[in-house]
Amino acid sequence: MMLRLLIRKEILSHVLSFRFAVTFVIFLVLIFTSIYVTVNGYEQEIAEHGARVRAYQEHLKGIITQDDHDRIGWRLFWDDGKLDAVPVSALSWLGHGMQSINPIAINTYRWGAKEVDRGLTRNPLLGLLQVPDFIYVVNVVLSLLAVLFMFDAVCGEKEAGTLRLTLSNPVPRHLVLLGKWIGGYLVLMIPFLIATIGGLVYAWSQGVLAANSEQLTRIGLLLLTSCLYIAVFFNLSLFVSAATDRSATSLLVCLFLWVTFIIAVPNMAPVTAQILRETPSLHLIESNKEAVDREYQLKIDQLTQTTGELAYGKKIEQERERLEKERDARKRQWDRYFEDRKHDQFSLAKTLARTSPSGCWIFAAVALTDTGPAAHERLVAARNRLEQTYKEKCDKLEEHRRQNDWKFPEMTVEEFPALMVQNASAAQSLMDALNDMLILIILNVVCFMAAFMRFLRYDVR
Amino acid sequence: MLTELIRKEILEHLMSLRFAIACVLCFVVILCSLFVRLQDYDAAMKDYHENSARLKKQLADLEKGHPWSIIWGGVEVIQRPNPLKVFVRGVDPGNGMAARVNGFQPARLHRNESLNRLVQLFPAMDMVSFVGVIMSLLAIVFGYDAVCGEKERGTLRLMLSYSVPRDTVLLGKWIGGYVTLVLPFILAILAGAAVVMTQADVALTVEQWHRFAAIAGLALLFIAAVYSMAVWVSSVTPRSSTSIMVLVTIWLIAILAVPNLSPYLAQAWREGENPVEAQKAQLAVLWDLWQREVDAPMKEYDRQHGFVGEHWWENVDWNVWEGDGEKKGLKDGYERSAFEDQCETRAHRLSIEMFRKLDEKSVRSLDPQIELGRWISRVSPFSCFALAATELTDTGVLQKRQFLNQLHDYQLKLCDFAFARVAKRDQVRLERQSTDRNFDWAKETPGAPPAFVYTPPAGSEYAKAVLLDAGILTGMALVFLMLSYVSFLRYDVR
Repeated sequence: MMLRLLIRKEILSHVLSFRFAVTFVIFLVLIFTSIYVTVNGYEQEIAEHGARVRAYQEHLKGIITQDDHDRIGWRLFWDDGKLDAVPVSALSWLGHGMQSINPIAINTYRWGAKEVDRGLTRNPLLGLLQVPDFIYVVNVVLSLLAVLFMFDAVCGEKEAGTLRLTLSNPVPRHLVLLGKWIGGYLVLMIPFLIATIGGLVYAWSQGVLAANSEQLTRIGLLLLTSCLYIAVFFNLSLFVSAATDRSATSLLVCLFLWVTFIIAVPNMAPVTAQILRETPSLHLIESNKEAVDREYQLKIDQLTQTTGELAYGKKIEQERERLEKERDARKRQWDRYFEDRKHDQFSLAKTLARTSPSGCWIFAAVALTDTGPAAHERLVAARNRLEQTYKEKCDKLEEHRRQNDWKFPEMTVEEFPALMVQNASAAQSLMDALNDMLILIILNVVCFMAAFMRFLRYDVR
Repeated sequence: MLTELIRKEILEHLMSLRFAIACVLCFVVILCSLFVRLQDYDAAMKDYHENSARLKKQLADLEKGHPWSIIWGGVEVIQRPNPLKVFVRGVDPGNGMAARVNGFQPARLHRNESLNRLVQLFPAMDMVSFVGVIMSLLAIVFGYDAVCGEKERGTLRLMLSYSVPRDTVLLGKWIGGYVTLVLPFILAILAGAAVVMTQADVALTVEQWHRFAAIAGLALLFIAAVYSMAVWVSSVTPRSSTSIMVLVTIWLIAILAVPNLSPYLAQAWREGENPVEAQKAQLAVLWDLWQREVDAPMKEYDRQHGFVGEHWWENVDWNVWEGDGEKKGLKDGYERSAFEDQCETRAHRLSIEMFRKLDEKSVRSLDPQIELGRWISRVSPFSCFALAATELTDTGVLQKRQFLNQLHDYQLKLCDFAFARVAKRDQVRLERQSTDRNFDWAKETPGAPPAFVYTPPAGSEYAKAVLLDAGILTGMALVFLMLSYVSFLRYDVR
């Protein structure tokens, strides 16, 4: 009963305040504008993806239906290869994540695959700043508003003299604190949820949000994580407010912590990891691979010279093949070494970024929208699979050609391997996000307990 | 009187917690981010040196080899890392652009694979983000209670009961507050510059130091604009809690929302070239040209000169110079090769020119979008500062385009070098009239392939790009100061 009264009082005092009006307007404007902009961008990307798929199919059809079979082989294996459009993640309009490093297409040849990026058709100014998506708005704007809601929760009431008055009645301190927390949190989260639901309805009306259980689960989990994340800053500000005597001091300390946790720590994590766990440069790896190439070329040349024969014949062919396989294995070792070192550095950067709640929120959110590191790794795996299957297909076609007077069989576009990127299920994404969600829960408990301890000893005079 | 007021303001700020926090933030964040970016620059330089040695060797090998390996294989081009990137990250996260230039594909910039992928989620902190986010927030913290805070404490009433003109009070507040606000920033920047000077690898030229000074000047203008805005809001609100809420709202919109949203809004309102169509046009270039410029003339040539059958070389006796009636000789083979080389040279040259035209079309089609994005974002002082700082440090759109333009020129120069060697070989072989088919490229057609050297845009280009933004920042600072003055003249101090 008492708690309910306290919560009611908090809610009323917040709702009637200027900051509530400002918060409401900020939420409505920023969340809605952000969703409007990202939904439009997503629709454009989807339309482009469809056009790209059709254009690539036509291009491949143009190659395989040529009359000149030498030219077909040349273009299919070496010059044009096969183009596959990279799909866009279904929830990338909520969080762009690492999508900007994804290529728009994969061009696969008999000798390997290369990535096609947007090139000159991309506005270079987009690289200067961050994508203002939902994840960004929650990360920066919502956390700052949480700080502004709570920085004077305790010390402000002390300054106004109302805390002394409240505590002169038989009200336990923990109930006062709990009432403040619940009241303030509800007042902050309700406009946020209203603005977000408005944005989601807009996305649904545009046909971007499919109302299936998979997407709704992801969005539900994303909202839950955002509530946890905001609660961390709420509790942190409550603690600072209970640890300071003046609201001006509390505001300064809170802003200092906000800058540290949102701007400084996470943004320095990748570069710090780059320094602590250096990776060799790609050029160095390429040089080493070139050295391997030279070494094996010498061996192959030697083989021809020592046998005193021309480089033909079954025996020499076998030996040459063995040497080539050995060479490729050694080159792959260099690639693996590079990837392992990069992976180590990446893991360290992740750990460093997680020292800030902002890092945890971003990792959890990109996992839930399937636009994070895991999604990127699945794309790389799909690319590698495609590279392998395309090479096999080309080998088969070449074999057929050799046996059939250098003529290719009748080919269709559908028989060629395609880029198949596996999407994570909502459960898998939840598993990816779970660690970060747990860290956020722990931070909440720790900050609230710290605020509670401080408030128990707080001098209200 | 003014000196007294300034002194009072400075002393008040110097002894406050906000000044201590400003000092900690300026020194810790600027020096830490500089340290991190210096390490990053060192890594980029190491990479550049390793790569340069490798590329030098590759170019030397190309001198001895067949020139078609330049056309089909190409040459790798790298840009020396820009030392000014230790201060400003710019539009690309990596330092030093790289590309492969050959004779059959458009010149494209490589992605930096060594870069930590998480940079996409957490972009590294640089001077632009520090000034834009942290210094602007500090300016708000320093100015939000400049007038209303004194009113709440009752000291403003007391002060104005003396014969002090209001304009002097406001000016004293502004100057005192601004000096204490920028003092830790200037000291931290000077400390940062001293750190950079001690680094042997980061050798900034005098001109680059001037540019750094210009960025620091722009930063001071930007801080002045935000601080003036804070003083203005403080002189139109009666309570400091209202003032901080209004200022944080403006800060969220002007510093975080507008600059980030503007390129996306511009993208939604002004579409650039359709990327699918652009790619389709590029895919079509080479094979269409090849069919027109090589296949068709060669078929005609073979028909006219009696090269029959699927493989023309089966008609040639490679051991005799002149052929007899039945078989053609080496001379006929060489003549055919020379004609084919001419056709291929023309096809490659045309394709390079076509690629360049297509690239220029893509770039031109983006111009209205970029301009619109810039103009929308200029509502925010942060955008003005960020745009000017990236151009000044040679890390913005201007530099990227300059690099690409020079890459196109180099592509043509490199291919011309290869074509000239092929033409020379064809001429020498026909003049020599020998059945010895060996040809020593290095001896017969000496000369190293041209190297790529990037020339940054001229100084006047930078001035043009920066002047407008600097003017807007100055205008904003003056307008907000005037607004504060007008509001303070009517301010109710009771």
